[in-house]
Amino acid sequence: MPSPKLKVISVILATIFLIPLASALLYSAPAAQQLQGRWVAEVKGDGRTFSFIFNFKTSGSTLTGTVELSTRDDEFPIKNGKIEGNNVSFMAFGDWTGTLEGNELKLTRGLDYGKKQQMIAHRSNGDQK
Amino acid sequence: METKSSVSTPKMTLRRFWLWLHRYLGLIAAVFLVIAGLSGSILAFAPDYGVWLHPSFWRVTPRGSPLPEQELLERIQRQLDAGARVEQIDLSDAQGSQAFLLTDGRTLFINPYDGEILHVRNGPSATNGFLLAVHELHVGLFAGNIGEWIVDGATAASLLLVCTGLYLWWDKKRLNIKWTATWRRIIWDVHNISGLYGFALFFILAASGLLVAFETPLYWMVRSQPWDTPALPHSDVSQAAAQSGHAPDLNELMRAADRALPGASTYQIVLPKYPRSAVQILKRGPGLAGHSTVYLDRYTGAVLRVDDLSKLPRAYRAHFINQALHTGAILGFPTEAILALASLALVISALTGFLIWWKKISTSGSSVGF
Repeated sequence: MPSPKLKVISVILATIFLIPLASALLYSAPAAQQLQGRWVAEVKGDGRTFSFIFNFKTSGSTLTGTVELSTRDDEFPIKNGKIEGNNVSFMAFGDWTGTLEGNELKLTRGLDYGKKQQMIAHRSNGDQK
Repeated sequence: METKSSVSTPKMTLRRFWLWLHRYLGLIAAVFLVIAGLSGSILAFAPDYGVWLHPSFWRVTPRGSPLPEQELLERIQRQLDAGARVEQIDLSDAQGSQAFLLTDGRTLFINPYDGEILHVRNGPSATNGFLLAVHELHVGLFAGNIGEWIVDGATAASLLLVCTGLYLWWDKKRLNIKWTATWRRIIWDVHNISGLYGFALFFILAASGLLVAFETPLYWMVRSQPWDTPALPHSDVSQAAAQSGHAPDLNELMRAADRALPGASTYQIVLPKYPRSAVQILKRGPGLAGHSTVYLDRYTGAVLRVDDLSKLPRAYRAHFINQALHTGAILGFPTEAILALASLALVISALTGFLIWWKKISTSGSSVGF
């Protein structure tokens, strides 16, 4: 039988570590579930329209997967992917931040010299570009 | 006298307004126009610096016919470490070497007549890095989106400046510089002459620069929407085993691309990166700007798609033409040199304009123009 002191310490430790951890996981869970899958953002420029394709995989507050461009034969693996509430951030062919708002993922792609490119991604099920 | 004064008053008022606009718009935009002009004159020759700085491995002496591309590729592949492979080949004219870009980041410069490796470059070149930095200064002053807005504003201002400048020049219509006059008058004349002779080119540079930044008016002008690029075509992976040992070599693929798009010269070959990838063969034009692409199945050699520039939406073609107008890439060195000189004339116009304001020539000396 654990001593009363040990019980108290266990409860305190659980309060300090487990509850915030569980809260964080629960808080990010809805966004994480919604983000999972394929998203496509269309971009206009250089006389054409093309797409960024995001293949997201989520695990708790961690975001992994790949980013592709419809015009390039490349897959950029997502690094440092994080989900905090409805906000995401990751690195893959640029530094990305985004906010999930309803069915839209509003993304900002940070480029060199502080340039930012903004786009809106929508969930995609088909094998579109 | 009174009658003459009353008649000329409206004209003077309008002229003074344009003068005021030209002076203060010019003052605000001057520093940015100097930066844009200097950086633009450097960027105009961007395609040439490699050849100028390193002719020993960018240029070759033609000897008979170049080796077939497949033979060059095999020779290079045999010399590579395990894991490294060629992912792209940049072709050149008869006097130029070929650049083989490797997956490990190296670039091999090859003599196409004997397959000799002329130079190995590890990673990006310092020249390219410098040009990228100059380009960033040119389009955004190293200040992100805010810098881009400032440059765009200065470019729009320069359109107004060339038009108001022509209007102001019209009164005196000076066509040359009076070198024996005072230095103030010389500065004035240089401002006039650089603006006058550079007028058309300044206009082209400014208008094309604005259309590079904001393409929507370009789409409207050519009555066309941007090209909705389809997904990249893929090779038929199911044929990989069936065609093992019988897959077409690079020479066959290039011939197939020539048949698919006759008359256009190949300048780049992108080799497959993944099993599903297609071989991409890029060809110049048709026309003076832009490129076309032929996609081929790596296993069967079948033509998967041809992006023939002449058949793509006008908006896409207009993008290339506008960009070539801005960079001078239309006819190579001659047009690059013309646009570089125009960029420098823009710098001279901005500097002399500032000096005129600084010494208050425009307000104190009717003898020098007003």
